[in-house]
Amino acid sequence: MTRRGPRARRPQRRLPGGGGPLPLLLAAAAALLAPRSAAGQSLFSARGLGVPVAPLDARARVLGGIGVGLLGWNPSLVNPAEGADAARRSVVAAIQPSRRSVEFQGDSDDIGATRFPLIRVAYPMGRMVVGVGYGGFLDQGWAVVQQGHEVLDDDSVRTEDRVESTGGIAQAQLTMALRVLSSLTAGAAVGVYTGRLERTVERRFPDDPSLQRFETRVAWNYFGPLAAFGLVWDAGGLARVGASVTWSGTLEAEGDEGEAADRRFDLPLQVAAGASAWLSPRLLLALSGRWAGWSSAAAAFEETGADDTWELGGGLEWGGAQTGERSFPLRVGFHYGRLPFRLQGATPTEWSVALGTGMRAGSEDAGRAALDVALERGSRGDRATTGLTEDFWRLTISLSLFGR
Amino acid sequence: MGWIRVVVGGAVAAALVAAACGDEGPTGVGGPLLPGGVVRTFQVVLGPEAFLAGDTTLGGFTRPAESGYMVVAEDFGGTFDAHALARFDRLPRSVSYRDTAGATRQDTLPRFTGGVVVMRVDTARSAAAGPVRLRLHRIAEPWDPATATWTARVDSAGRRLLWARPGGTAGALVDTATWTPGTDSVSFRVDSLTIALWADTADAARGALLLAETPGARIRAPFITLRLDARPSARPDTVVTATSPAIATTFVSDPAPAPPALLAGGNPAWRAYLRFRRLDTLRLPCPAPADPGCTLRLRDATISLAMLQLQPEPVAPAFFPEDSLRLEARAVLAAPGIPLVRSPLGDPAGGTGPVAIPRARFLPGTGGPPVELPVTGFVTRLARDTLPDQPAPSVLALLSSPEGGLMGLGAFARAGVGAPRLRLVLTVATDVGIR
Repeated sequence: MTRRGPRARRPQRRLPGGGGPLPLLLAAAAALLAPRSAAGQSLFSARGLGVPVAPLDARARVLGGIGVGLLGWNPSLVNPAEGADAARRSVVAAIQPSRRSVEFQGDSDDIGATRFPLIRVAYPMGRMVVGVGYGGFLDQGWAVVQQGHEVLDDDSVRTEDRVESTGGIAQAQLTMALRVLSSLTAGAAVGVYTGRLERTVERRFPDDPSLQRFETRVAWNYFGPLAAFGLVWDAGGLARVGASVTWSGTLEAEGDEGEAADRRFDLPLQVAAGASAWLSPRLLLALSGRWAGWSSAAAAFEETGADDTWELGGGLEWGGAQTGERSFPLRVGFHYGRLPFRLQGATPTEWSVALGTGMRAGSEDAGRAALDVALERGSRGDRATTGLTEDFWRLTISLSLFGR
Repeated sequence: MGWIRVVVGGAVAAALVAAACGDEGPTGVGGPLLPGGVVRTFQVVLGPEAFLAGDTTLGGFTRPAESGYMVVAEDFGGTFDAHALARFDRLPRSVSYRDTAGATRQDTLPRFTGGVVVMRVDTARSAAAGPVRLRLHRIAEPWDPATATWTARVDSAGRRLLWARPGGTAGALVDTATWTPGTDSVSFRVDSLTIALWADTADAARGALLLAETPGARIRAPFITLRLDARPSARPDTVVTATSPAIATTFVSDPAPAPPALLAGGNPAWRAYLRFRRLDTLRLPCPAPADPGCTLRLRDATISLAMLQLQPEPVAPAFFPEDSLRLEARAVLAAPGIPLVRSPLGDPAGGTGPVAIPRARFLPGTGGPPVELPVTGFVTRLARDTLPDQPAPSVLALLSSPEGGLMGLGAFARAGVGAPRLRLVLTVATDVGIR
């Protein structure tokens, strides 16, 4: 579990992206630039600024879903200090398809969505690792079709309304992790929240072709600052404790299309902490939690309401089978959290249990690639409070490629 | 081995992206989570003062000579007269006959001993209380089939020559016949002299004048021809039939309708023009429930439907339409310096075909709801227009379809209770912001 050997030995003779990571980077970037065709979809996104999306890889997704204080390769964007684990140039991208069963007031439906929660490039420079990352923050994708009718004069006209919200808020970070002591790493990140929200409202009149279809569209562009600071303390490779604080400024939503009015939102301060330890030479335990002060945004959502959120998660990782230089770890974990924006006056919660595995090609120190998969089964909301429930299967696949 | 990693990495990434990029449809669950009234569709009926700047009615848009039918009428509706005029082709240069052996031969020197003018009658579009006595005359003055009117035998640009007798100066009577309602043709015997005169292409007066003697009748004739009796020079004891088709037909009528109302139809055709006000600045009440005094601009709403409401008015019996009036509205593509009457018309203003209005709607005392013409496209452009150098058409023409195809016309109220109104079905969206 050490991280020092390869970085110290290998000369920095190639530019980042000059080898294997380049095509992955380009392909993942292309995916991130095409949000419309892969809009995430959760009806809980219809409230406030949406549903939080954690910028995690598949391994962190299983081991608690927070991504702080994890021993081993952890490319998540939550704690910039954990970027110091990038012993060599690396690029990571994650993709997250999901399937949801939605139920509300006796009606149910199945919907699907795909997100790209993380892409990150890291570049070691001596004791320091710098990196850039682009990850999810809030998902605002949802779409609803509603049947109804309007009374015109004495006639009732059947209507079919489709309200679609596409987009979300992502975070772009420039990160730096510095090994202060052999057991202590500090990291800092600066970045911006960026994104776009397009909301389309469409009405059709299925029974009366003479009535013209109605469509209106509004769009906002998001921009806001963020800064993060984190620490990681390692206990001789046997245990790790990490913590991070992320400050977020005011998010500006600038109307870009239609009658979209400019808005401002105070984003929350986020504090995350976690720890992991080897229970045995091949069994790792991870626990983590996060608090986010989402009540700061409540002023902008007087009708909806916003509350501070707590999340807790944990998991176990077993070294698994090993063939030659390839290993196949197995993981199991859970995550529980509250969502920031109320629905029907109640604060929704989300829980999930996860099962995961991966493949490590090469030794831990000189690995060439890591493919991780997480499969989560969980639920959001409940009938008694929010009225809306979503049971989901969520698959996260992340691929990490390492330079020489 | 670097290139292998490039290929493998790229392929895996591309596969992941391709697998992820599936379209996601909306769900039918959760609609009640949306606030009520996000999208509202409501109806507004505008009075003429809100959208009309003026109107006018103009006639003479079609020529009877181009309409493909003729009309004969005598005191129809008490006042309406119409005379049909026809000019026949030159005589055939040869005729076919059978010789004594039964072989078919051509004769280039036939003698035309007489003939029959056969007029087909559109029984469905003809009106008469009983048998109608018709007269066929030779025309006594030179005339122009393309421009002849009730008063003028020639009425082209810069040249106007009047008939000595309005309605066409009748020459010698050729024959009389009686048309009985329900029969589809009527025939007139024609003597050899008349045939010879009608065959003289140097004579600008040649032609047939057909008129009715029986009052109260109006007959529509889509076809007329001259059948000739010919005797071949090689076999003068044999009579064969040849045909001299009409090469020009028209009809002249009197009087023209006076337009106290908005008129559409007839032949020569009438059109009503409605000049609209600016609609982009028009303010309308917000859909209920709304704050008192709340208004919205028409341009801020989507016009789901715009229907021009017209109230049919009774038409004088003389001009009562022979069939349903197929009415349509088209935008007038006005250009500086071009008078309204010569301005071209655009596509149908509502994007759909004409609206058929039963002719019974033009009977006195029928009342009934207004008829509606779709004008959604026209009104939408007018409500959206903001560019002064590219103004949207603001004048709408109401005309029959096909124009000139209908004898008689439709009339619509232009003022008062039945004045044109504009029914708008509007859709607006509210509260689509971030909540």
